[in-house]
Amino acid sequence: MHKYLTFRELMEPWKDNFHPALIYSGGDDGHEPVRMSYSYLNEQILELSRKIKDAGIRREFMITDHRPETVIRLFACARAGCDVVLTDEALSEEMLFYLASVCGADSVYASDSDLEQAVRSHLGIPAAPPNPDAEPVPGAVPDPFAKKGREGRLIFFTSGTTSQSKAVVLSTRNLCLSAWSGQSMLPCGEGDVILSLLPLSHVFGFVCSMLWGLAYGAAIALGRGVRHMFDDCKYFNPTILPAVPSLMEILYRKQVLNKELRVVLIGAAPLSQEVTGALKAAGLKVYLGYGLTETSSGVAITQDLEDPYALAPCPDADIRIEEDGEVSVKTPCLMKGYIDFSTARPGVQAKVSNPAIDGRLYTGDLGFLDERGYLHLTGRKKDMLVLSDGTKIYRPECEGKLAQDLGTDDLALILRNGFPVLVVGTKDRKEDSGEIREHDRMVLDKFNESLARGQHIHYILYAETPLPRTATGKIRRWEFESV
Amino acid sequence: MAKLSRAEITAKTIEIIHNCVPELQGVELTEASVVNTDMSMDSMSFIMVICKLEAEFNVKIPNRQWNKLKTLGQVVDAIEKYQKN
Repeated sequence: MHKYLTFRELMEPWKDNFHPALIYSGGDDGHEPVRMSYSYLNEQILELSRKIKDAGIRREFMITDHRPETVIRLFACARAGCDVVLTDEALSEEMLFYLASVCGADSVYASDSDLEQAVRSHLGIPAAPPNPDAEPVPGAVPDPFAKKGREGRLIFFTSGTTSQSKAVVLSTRNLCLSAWSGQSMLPCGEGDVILSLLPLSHVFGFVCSMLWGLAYGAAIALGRGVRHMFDDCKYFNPTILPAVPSLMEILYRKQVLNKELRVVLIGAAPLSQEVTGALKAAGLKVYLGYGLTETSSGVAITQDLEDPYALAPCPDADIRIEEDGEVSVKTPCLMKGYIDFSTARPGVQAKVSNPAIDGRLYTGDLGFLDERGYLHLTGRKKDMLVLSDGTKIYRPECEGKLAQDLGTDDLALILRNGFPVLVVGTKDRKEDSGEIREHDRMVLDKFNESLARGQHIHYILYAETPLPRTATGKIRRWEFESV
Repeated sequence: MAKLSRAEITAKTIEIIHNCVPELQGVELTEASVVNTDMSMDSMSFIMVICKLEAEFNVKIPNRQWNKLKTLGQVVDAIEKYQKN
């Protein structure tokens, strides 16, 4: 099993491979799927990469989707030495305009020509590729990671739930090694069909439902979009399905999985025991992956099908548990760093940073290693509130108890001047009255009796609306923690 | 399919939402009801509802419009706008 280090190496075997690389929609009229061979895909990528290189494009803002043209362009940019800033068509226009304006792109791509034109207009980028001899495009910034002859890097935005999104720079080496890690733990190959439903602008989607399969000879079935989410399995007959828990749960409950499916790879969060058990009972192998955008996706994958939460470290991943229980990892898949695009100015480099210490990333997750060296995750470090006296409160535990006693889970424990304070939203509160607040205070006083003095929750802040949440239901603490 | 009245569209939309989102069964929905938020239904459920609505009314609402639909009234507006004869 070859360990590729560049997209060039990874694509080298493609030219003589006539097996299907991509499988995609044959059209809306019920046509059979179309198959594109590895050889043809290779030709298309190389031809386009020459054009991109000749045009002198240095950084492309790409609004990704699952069209074959998008996949070809993504690889072509990287081969041409052009960085790709990856976003998704599901983002609002305002967010796309903002990201496009700060990322220093000199090219925009979207398969939706109206959307592409709108972003180009917003940036003042003409439709024709830039003249490499021309003056820099306003807003374009010097490359903080410049290195001659390198392949283009892929820039992903994290989907943080406890802090705002960051731009993570991953090299093709990082990504190829991540694909190799996955292959070492969960082999795929010719004859496999991996159904790609996850956004390619997320590293889990790109590595596990695209790059991994293409690196090792599987065919990638390109999902037909949200309208076909419930019938793509029957249309493409995948053998492997990477998914996030919410997607997997709804596909399972709607009973739309195909009989050829043999492996499910879950990332981003654990799948419920109920659905895990049901899938296993149906003969599927359920694997859970753990990783971060910063580590180019997976650093550990479950291997013991009887122990679905015990994560075996991938080869080359050095996982350690720190004194406070935090999981740290050293891996060749570690990002080049973060770019803070908001600090970019014409002619001035954007600030770059890398929080890794001696090549070791402190993940912010809590866990332990069992006697086999398998990782078990127990929570998020940011769920620990460190108080002004140095003691700590484990937020989920406190919030869970208070939710039970107050009759609402629309609450959050935050720090104010180093002291814990409870914020309560209005989701479950039809009215607000003195009696309710007095009751809340009594509940809080009772709760505080169980805590050391320094950990007492000082007071309750009442929000005027339900607390803001992410798409997965987690409270967007950062929106009110600093207010 | 003949164009339906707004009242007919609204009634059918409410029926589909109630069928697709068990958590909203028994909840009275009006045109002012906010439907496309995490507080009312998760993103997967919203996708399912829109897909059902498109099939029911033989419309295709552009993907980029979906996120802009916040209230039941806005969903009905979109169905009316893209409804074919």
